[in-house]
This record gives sequence, structure tokens and C-alpha cells, in this order.
Amino acid sequence: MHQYQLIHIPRGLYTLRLLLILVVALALPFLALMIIEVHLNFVLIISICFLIAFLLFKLSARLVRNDLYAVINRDSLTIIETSSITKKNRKWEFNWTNLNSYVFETTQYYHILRLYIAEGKKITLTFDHNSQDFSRFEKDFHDKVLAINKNRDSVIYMSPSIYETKTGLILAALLVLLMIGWPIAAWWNSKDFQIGLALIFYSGAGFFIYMVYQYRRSKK
Amino acid sequence: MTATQAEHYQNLAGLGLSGSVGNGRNLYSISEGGGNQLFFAGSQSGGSVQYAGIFNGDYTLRDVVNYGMAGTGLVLGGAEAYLRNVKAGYAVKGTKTAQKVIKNVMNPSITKVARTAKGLGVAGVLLNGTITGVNWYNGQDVTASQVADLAISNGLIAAGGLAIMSAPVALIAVGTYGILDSFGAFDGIKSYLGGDTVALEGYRPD
Repeated sequence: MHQYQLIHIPRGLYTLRLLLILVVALALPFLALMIIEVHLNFVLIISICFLIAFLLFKLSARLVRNDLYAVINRDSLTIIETSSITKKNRKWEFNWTNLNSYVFETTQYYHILRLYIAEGKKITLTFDHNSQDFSRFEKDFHDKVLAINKNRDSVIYMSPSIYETKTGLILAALLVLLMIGWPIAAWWNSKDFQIGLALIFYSGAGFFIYMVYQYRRSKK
Repeated sequence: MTATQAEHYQNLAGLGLSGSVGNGRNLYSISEGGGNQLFFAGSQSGGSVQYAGIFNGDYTLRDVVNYGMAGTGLVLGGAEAYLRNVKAGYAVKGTKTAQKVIKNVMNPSITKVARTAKGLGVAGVLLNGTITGVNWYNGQDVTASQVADLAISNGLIAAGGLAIMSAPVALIAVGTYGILDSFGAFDGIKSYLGGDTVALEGYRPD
């Protein structure tokens, strides 16, 4: 029996928190300025906005990280998640024989594990990158599946991650075109380069393209 | 020059910026009738769609910052992917030395790069939002188009961005939106929502 302490990020809550922080960090300084009626310069105002956002991110970080306790047994996999807000537990448990396939995928924001169970059931877990036992969990999970596949007729498939598929390659090519095309289009039309979106896009696109490149290179 | 404009110049002087009213290679300009505009050049009163052009040399400090930050985001995203692959290589080895390298070298490096890469997106939204807010606080009207731009940016980043950032389709959607918006494909929708109609009058305390 192997045990792992992991951290699960509930994506809905994570998104809601981000939206709230953006709204509060943008609105609060101007509300304060309206009340005290003082003119501050741009640098000071933006510094206050960033400081508020930073503090809110720090203070609320624990709220969007659920403790996740995983146990790999000889016959089964058990996962118990404890909500950081309600402290309620949620439990998944299934036999290895019921597992059809799985995929581990490293993304810019989470490690994702998708489990495809018998009868079409699917479980998606999004682990925080800083989960202390994640590397060990991933390695042991692979080893366990390999051991099971040796001893029985049916096979648990390890599905390829998006980076290894042709779809991933096509998407990477599209991203390259968009990466080049967007600033050119903005320049050409003398339009604003929407930096908020651009930063999300370029950072994510750089990550995705490099992952596709790396996976395809390691295949050769 | 009004008292507000004079104060605005003082603020800009505090930033170490200089510029002129009107056309030219400005870091900023004062709009004709809609109040002050920080870091914007060549825009009409209350306008939100037309901004400084790079090709005619009429770019703003904001453009330079925006393109620079986007380039930084791209490099950081790639660097993070590279480091994660190196870490995965060590994890496969499974030796004690490899585990030490992961713990002492790889994890701290990845944490720093990843935090900065993710933070840049949020910083971009805050920067855009604050610029609009400062202009409004300095008396410039906020148009329906500007509100739509801000709402779409925030909405896409929050709902479509971080939540499903792993889905490259979301990235394609964001990139396609950026290009189509540059060609004015959404101007019709923005006009329908109010276009250059003032959605929020500039803050002008009596």
C-alpha cells in the first residue's frame, strides 16, 4: 500500500476567485479615491491595484486548494478529497480491473489525471504543481499499471497526451500562425494590442508549442 | 490649459515622461474634448477602437510595454515547459540524486518561472483596467466599446483563460479573437452594444 498527499484545484472555484480579485483590485482604489478626493499619479494608482491583487491572491490561496489523499493498493485505487472551505470529504474508490485507460497531462496550470472507468465513467483530477508527492504518485501509478497489464488478459491503456497526437501538432501550428499574425494585425490596423489577453495567449502558446516540440523530439 | 490638465502634466512629469499635445511621436496626448488620456495617442474624444499605430511612428509607451510583456510571456511559457520536461526526465530516473535535484533545483526554478508567467496575464488585465480607470478618474468618459473590451478581456481570461488554460482550443479562441478584433470584426457588435456612446461619464467632482 502506497500513500500520497496531493493538492487538488477545483477549477470553478479557482476561476471565480480570480474574477473576484480582478474586480475588487480594480474597483477598490478608485472608490477610495472618490471618497477621499485626492489626485494620485498613474504609477501610484497602479501600484495600489497590484498590491491589493497580490494580497488577495495570497490571502485566498488556501481556499482554492483541496487536500487530496491517494492510496494505491494491490487491488484498488482510493482517492479522498477534503474541501478547504466546507472540510467535507469526497471519496472515489475503484478496482484496477475497472480502469480502461488513463492519461497524465502536464499543463501550465495543473497536472491533469483523467481516469476512464468501465461503463463510460470519467474522473478528471487537476493537481497543483506544488503537490509534494505528485512525481512519486505518477511514477508509482505507471508502474502499477505495467504490473497489472503483465498479469491479466485485458490491458489498461495509457492514452497519449494532447502533445503527442496529430491534433496537438495541428493546434501547435495554428498557435504559431496566430502568434505571428496577432501583433501584425494589430500594427497593420493601428488597433490596440489587448495585453491582458495577449499575455495569457503568448504564455500559454509558448508552453503548448514547446511541449509538442519536446514530445515529438523524444519520439524520434 | 485647465487646472486639471496642468495637474495631469505634473503627474506625467513625475513619471519622467514628456510629450506634446496633438499629433506626433507622443508617449501620451491630451484628447480634444474628452479629458485626459494617459498613455494613449491619436485617439478621438471618447474613442476606444483606434489607438496608436506602430508603422507611422505614433506609438505609445503603453504599446512598447504591451508588446514587451507579450514577448516575455512567450519566453516564460516556453521556459516553463522546458523546465517541466527536464524535471520529468529526472523523475523517471528515480534515483536519490535525481530526487535531490528535483527538490533543490528544479522545483524552486519552475515555481518562480510559472508564477511569473501566470502573473503576467493578471498583470495585463490590471494594467488595462487601471489605465481605463485612471482616464475615467481624470474626467474622461468611458464608452460602451471600452466597457465591452474590458468585460470581454476579463471574462475570457477568467472563464476561458485560467480555468481551461490547458485546453489549447481556448488559446486558439483567444488568439483568433485578438486577430479578428484587430481587423474590426467585432466593431459591429460593439456598436450594437453602444459603440462610442458614453457608458460612464468621466469623474468630474464639483
